Amino acid sequence: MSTTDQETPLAVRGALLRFGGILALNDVNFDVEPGETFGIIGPNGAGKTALLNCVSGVYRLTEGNVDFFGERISGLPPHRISAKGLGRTFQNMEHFRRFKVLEYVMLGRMHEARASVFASVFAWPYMERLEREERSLAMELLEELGLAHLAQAKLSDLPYGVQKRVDIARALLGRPKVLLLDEPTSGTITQERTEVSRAIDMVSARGVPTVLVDHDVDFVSRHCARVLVLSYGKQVGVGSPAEMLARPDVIETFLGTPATS
Amino acid sequence: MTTGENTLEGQATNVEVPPEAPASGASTAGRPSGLRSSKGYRLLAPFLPWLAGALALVVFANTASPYVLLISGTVLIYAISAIGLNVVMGQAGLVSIGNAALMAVGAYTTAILAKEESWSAFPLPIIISGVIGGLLGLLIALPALRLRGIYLALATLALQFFVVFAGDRYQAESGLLSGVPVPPLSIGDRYFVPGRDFVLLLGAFLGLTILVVRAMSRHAPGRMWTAISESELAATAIGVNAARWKLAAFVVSSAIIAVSGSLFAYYNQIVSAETFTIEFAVVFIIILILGGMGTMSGAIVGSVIVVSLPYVLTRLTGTLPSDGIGEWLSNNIFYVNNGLYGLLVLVVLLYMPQGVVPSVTGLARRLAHRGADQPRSSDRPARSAARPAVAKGDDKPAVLEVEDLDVMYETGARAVSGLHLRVEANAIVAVLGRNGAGKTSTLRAVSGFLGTEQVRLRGHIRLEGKDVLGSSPGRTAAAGLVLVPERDKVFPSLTVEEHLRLATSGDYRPVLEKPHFHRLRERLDQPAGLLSGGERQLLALATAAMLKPRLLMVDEFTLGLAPVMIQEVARVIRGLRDEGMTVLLVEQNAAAALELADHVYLMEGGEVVAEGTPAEMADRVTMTSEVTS
Ligand SMILES: Nc1ncnc2c1ncn2[C@@H]1O[C@H](COP(=O)(O)OP(=O)(O)OP(=O)(O)O)[C@@H](O)[C@H]1O
Ligand SMILES: [Mg+2]
Repeated sequence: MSTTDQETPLAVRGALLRFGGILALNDVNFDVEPGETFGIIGPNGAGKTALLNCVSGVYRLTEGNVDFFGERISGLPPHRISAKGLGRTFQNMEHFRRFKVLEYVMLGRMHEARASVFASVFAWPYMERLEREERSLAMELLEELGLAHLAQAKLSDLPYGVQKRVDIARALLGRPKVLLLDEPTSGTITQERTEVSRAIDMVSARGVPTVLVDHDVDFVSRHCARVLVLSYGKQVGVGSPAEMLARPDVIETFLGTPATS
Repeated sequence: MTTGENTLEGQATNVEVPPEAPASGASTAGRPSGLRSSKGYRLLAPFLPWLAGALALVVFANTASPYVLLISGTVLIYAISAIGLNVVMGQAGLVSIGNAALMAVGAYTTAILAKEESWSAFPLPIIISGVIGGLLGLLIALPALRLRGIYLALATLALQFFVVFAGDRYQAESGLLSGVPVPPLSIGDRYFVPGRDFVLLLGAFLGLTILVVRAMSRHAPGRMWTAISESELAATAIGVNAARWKLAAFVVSSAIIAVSGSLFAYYNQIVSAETFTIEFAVVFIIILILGGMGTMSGAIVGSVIVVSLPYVLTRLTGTLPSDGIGEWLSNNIFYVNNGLYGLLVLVVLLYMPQGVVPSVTGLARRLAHRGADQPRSSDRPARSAARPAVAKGDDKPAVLEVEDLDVMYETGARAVSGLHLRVEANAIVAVLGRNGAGKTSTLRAVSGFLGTEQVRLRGHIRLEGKDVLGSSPGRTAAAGLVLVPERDKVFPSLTVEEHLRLATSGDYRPVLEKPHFHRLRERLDQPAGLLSGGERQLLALATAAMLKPRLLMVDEFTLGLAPVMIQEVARVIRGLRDEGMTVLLVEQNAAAALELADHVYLMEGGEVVAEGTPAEMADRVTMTSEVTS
């Protein structure tokens, strides 16, 4: 099968993922256009995170493939995909407890770091300078996201919602060409959501296409012109948020009918 | 209600802002001016610890008795080896028992080279030992790419058997059954035998090792290793080439350990396969556990303890009467010594789980903070008057009563101060507030999860009239309290069914009949760690509900749930309340909480700033925590 054209940042074709007897993804197809913020919504266990994991190489698709600017990336190990410019955040920040915020954010550039143990020892002054540069880049970014005062805080001491913003900073530091965000607003209040919003705006201002998975439909509607609705592995459809959220099947499996009081 | 003083306190207590954060965060931007900013000082500062260390060593080497010097040499060699091992175990989090084998390789290499005219010149045997060690490290790392934990440890043991076998054969073939003699180390025409000069030389080697390892762990490599040790999969997902960095860790570590083996050979002037036993390998793991895994100072302190212990014991035997206990001790000193190692490890693991060095520095930090920010319960305005009398159950105690609660973390940050909360039986109470308002700390204090950590608690927490402040989670659970935390809410390796079986001895199926919970039924055999975020939340809630607690506390029940699930879970919680359960919710999602709760508290900066019925609180809440964009 041939790859898609080089203009398309991300193209997913016939994605199918099986875990034993469970079909976590069943024939999912979509393109992310240049500069676009593309939404993915769906009930719990729909396969949203699994889909992001397939794109970033953490899971291997059972069938189908993923192209990144026209280049086939499905099948590559995650660090290679990351080196090509695909950035992602985690839904649950349960890993990386020992890190301080700044150190963690600096991990974001590791894939392009010209680092080696030998360089650290034999080219110490050079590496030291590099380290200082990266440190100040990371600080700048933290400042932009309103997190600078937490630079030396231990990641595991921070509230969930703050950790998630730190994770976005980490992903942004890698200057991704495509960014995948997994529920960036969960655990944050509205005020903090505006900060997450700002981060996303910052990314789209740079023209970086973003895939946004989230349960906050207002938030998704504000940022995305198109959303993909997944339901138990199946693609319900792709369309504008208003159009998709009005569909009865989407209301039944995802949106529900809030008891108005 | 909010006095000026309270506002100040509120700022100081925000957990989001640990007190040391602003200053050190800005360290790259330059320090405040003053004495320290003078140029000379700044240029010199990085070298001061080294100068001090070198000076201390020189003074020590010139004053210590020959007996102490003899032991010190061994301590220094062990420290180098332990620092090498620490790269793999402490930093990259990979278990290795290959230490003895790698030291043996360095030692044999040195013994062989030192005899050869053309290879024996000073640093050559040591360097070649290091290189061979590094290559062997590459070999050990191969299984490490696939194996983890105890399996990896066993794989490194294979090297142990192989090396000891080869060493034995070599000794047998060359007729050196009692060991291969090593000519003394010489630089130019100067010979080094155990004593002052050798200690200084070893000190230089230790300094070099520290320098090399520090250069790596302060830069990208150290960060990658930490990331790998925390979660290899997550590390690769964010771009860390785990295979490459694991190889690097093993190569560096093995090279350092082989160098220490080379020095060991020169120091003892004999190399024998009998030395490099599995016990010998384990000693280095003990050193790291005792001193503190992951720190170089820990490796050094651990070496001092472990190496000097047998000598201290021998001394002790000398002072005891030569018959009876003294005789017994000197006959069994080997076993007593190993037993003591075991005991030490046990004590350290129990009381200083991170090792001696981190515990001591932590204690010092806490002491420094003590007195800096004492909670003042006396000069706080009396709250009880301001509190509306919610005490409907007159003489019957509320299910949960929190009075004057202070929670202060070891860093000095106060998460909660002077908190009052009351949860009546059969009510749903919600605590709202933004990230860092102290909500989670409150829940953790109530459930007993803070008692075991480094925090100070003050005030009263009463569960149905019984004070449980500082109780263990086990005791609060026995008292009928269950907490669904924000993180770590399920056991990743237990299946869904195992969770449900843990929660009830009866039939767990009815819970799964609820409209949206049926998804869990299809996942009964799946380890909870592989569930989606929302599925985990559902499982945790289902498990907690089935435990039928007196008081159910949920930290962010809406976390990661789709809108339809939030409505469903709200229905479930309401149902539980109708069955007689009491519920305390902590929420950021104000809309969901206002709809569900009977009574609402609003927290800010570690204090309750308002409370009331949802209707009374609706405006207030949207104003303070829901400022829409
Ligand atoms: N490694 C795995 N092994 C087995 N099943 C898995 C694995 N990872 C995910 N699943 C299952 O695949 C389904 C999709 O999971 P996924 O994490 O993608 O859901 P999600 O849409 O992100 O849901 P949520 O909104 O709750 O995060 C779930 O039912 C989950 O249990
Ligand atoms: Mg998910």
